[in-house]
Amino acid sequence: MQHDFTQMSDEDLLKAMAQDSHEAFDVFAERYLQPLNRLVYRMGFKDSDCEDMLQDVLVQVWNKAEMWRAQEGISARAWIYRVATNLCIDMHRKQKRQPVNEAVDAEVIPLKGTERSDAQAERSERREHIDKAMDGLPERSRMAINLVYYEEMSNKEAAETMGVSVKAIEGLLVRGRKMLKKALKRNEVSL
Amino acid sequence: MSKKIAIKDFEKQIAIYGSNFHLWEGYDADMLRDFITENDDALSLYLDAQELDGVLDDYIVPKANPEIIVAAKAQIMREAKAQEQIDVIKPQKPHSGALWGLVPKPVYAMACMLCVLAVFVAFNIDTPQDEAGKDQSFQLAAMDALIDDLEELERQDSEQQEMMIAFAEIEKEQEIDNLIDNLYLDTDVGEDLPDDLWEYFNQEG
Repeated sequence: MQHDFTQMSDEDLLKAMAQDSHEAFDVFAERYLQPLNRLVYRMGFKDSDCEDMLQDVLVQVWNKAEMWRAQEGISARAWIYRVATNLCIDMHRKQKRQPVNEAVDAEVIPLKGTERSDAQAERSERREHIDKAMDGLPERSRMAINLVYYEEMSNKEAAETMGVSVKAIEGLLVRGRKMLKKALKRNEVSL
Repeated sequence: MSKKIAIKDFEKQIAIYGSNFHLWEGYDADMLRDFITENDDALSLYLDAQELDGVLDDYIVPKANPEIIVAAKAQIMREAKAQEQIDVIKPQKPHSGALWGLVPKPVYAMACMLCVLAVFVAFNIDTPQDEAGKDQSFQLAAMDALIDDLEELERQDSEQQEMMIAFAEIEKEQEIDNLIDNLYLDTDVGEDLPDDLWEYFNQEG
């Protein structure tokens, strides 16, 4: 019997993936590539680190798909995000443990004809400050902000994803917003 | 019929969810919009929150390259193939119950290698000399392959264990963090929390 995987719910896709359905994986990956990319990027993984982490997340969801049903009461989406969250946190901790080689900022010399206008430079600087402020948030506050503001999850679903209570999610959001505001003011970013 | 809101609740909700009324569960967006036009304090809180939300909107994420899916599929195929090969050469676990289960994998691997070595030595003694060279190189190659496979098995096993330990640690810390978050919310602290307490609430790991 032929299945139309594109019409399947996330729950059914995970069940099919647990039975080694590569077609189900294709649909899952297409469906979740951009949302997971946003999540991983906003957890502080940029460029090739983001790509590597994203690949790991996709592979882990495939490898662990059969474990989803064991975790009662958690939606498929919340479970997928939880796998991603745990991998990101795990990687952050590994990176913290490893000695960091100080990256030397190479002086950027604009190529001929590519000098940026003042407005562009200002936008770019603002963007850098925002990135820095977001990256400076504690990882759990950042995660709560990602899930609720950007992924528009309900606070219950975000709580399931992070394995905390709804009250805790609210606390993380309040603290995240306050810290962000403080950091932006410190960097004199016009709000 | 959506519920009305008091200014105190409005203040609490906007501190949590910001100016996007669609995120405010249980409240009607139209009612909230009416509320801010009628209440100056609410309007001031709303405008303040909107500024920060504007910054959050500027935090744009570049699109992911779809090639990542191709790379992930290739990795899955590679891992499946490697697992198949390991399953073929993997020594069957003895069914002698709890005793073998207690033997750590490295010891088990070492015992297997010693067995292979013993067989190899015994076989080598009985082999006629003209056949010995051929057999010996074949056996050496087989033993090398077996050792490689056992090392690979051991590496995979320790990686998996490391991952499980890391996940368990994260879960445990989440429980502690949860407690701190609840404490924070219950104490109802305002903007003027001292810096050292901020640091305490925001510490990680």
